[in-house]
Amino acid sequence: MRDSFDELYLQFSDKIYKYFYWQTGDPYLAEDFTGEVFARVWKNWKRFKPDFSQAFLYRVARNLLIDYWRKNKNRNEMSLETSIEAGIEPSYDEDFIEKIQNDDEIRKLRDAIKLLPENLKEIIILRFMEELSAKEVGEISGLTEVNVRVLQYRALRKLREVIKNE
Amino acid sequence: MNKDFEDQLIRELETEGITPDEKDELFDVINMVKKTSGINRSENFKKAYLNKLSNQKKEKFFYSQIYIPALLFTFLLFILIAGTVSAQKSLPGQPLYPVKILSENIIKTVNPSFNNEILKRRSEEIKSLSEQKKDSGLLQKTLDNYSKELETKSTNSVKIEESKKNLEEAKEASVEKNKKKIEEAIEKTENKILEIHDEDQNRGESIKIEVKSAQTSHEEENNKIEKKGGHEGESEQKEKD
Repeated sequence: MRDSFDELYLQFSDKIYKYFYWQTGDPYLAEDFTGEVFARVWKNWKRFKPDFSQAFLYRVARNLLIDYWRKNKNRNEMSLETSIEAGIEPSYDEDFIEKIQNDDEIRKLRDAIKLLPENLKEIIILRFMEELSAKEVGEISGLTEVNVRVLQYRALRKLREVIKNE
Repeated sequence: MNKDFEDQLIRELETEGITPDEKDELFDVINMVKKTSGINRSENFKKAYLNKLSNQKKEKFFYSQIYIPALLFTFLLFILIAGTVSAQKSLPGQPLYPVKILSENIIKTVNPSFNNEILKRRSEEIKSLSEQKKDSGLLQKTLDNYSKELETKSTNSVKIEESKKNLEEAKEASVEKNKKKIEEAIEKTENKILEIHDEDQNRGESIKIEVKSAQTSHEEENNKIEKKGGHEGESEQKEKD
């Protein structure tokens, strides 16, 4: 059981980290969120394992984010209840964080993405950064595949416009 | 970018009415986005997280499978011991009395001479029940148990004497209608004391007889040796002469 969870973490934790990073723009918060997502999955791994899918993992991440935004609109902190319950102290890959903080391209893109409306930002992250199919993006965001296709076109045009105007 | 992904995306964007010029521009944006996706957290960092989870799992296992059951077991043992100890002072009709009887049964299987102590305990119970003027049904039952212990197993005259004393005190304290029943028990106790006394006397006499016969045979043995010694002395004297 543990081995399959380890494989899952090694395979998907970077993707989930980046999802949170682009969503929040905060590398430390993204690590806290990632740890919390995997602590939740780990806690219920026996139950989740049989029907596990990549989309499911993103749904857990998305719900955590929505919950955070709802509860902490004006505060830059989050509840790490499952991580704390599991006794895991937050830790950060400082070299990696320094790298992404000092990368001009990443900074430029992060600033541009920040200006997109939430629904379009999510499409850009899931569809073009994570390379998920329109169907998977739909499953995660609760949209139809057709809606995702329409929105992805709109999101790309909007991002191009923002980048041009920067 | 993955070729299949790109082809699929182009088809989807064309359906939405993308122009060829726009397509190039949008793909520049996509490529810019994709460029940033190659950086990952270090493998060591990820393994450290998994180790933390693993250690937590071990700790959780220790708590859930060893520590908590051990704590529960100790607690139950404590309750059991405390219950058994406090049950020793209980009287018939009280909730812990069956525990007292059970513990007595266990002890007497290991130590049969504990029967004498049980007899004394029953007599103390009779005394307490009489003093407290308790229900005569309970008293009768305890008297029956007392008689049962007395008839079958008790042999220690000191304990029986003490039991008799308890019964006499019980008789003094009891209500009129119970006095006769207690008196019967005292009588049985006295008979038992006499029985033990007779047995002791018989045993004493038989020991005396055994000692006496041992002494007699010892004296006879000595006489034989002396006589033999006397004969040998005489024949030696004759040889010398």
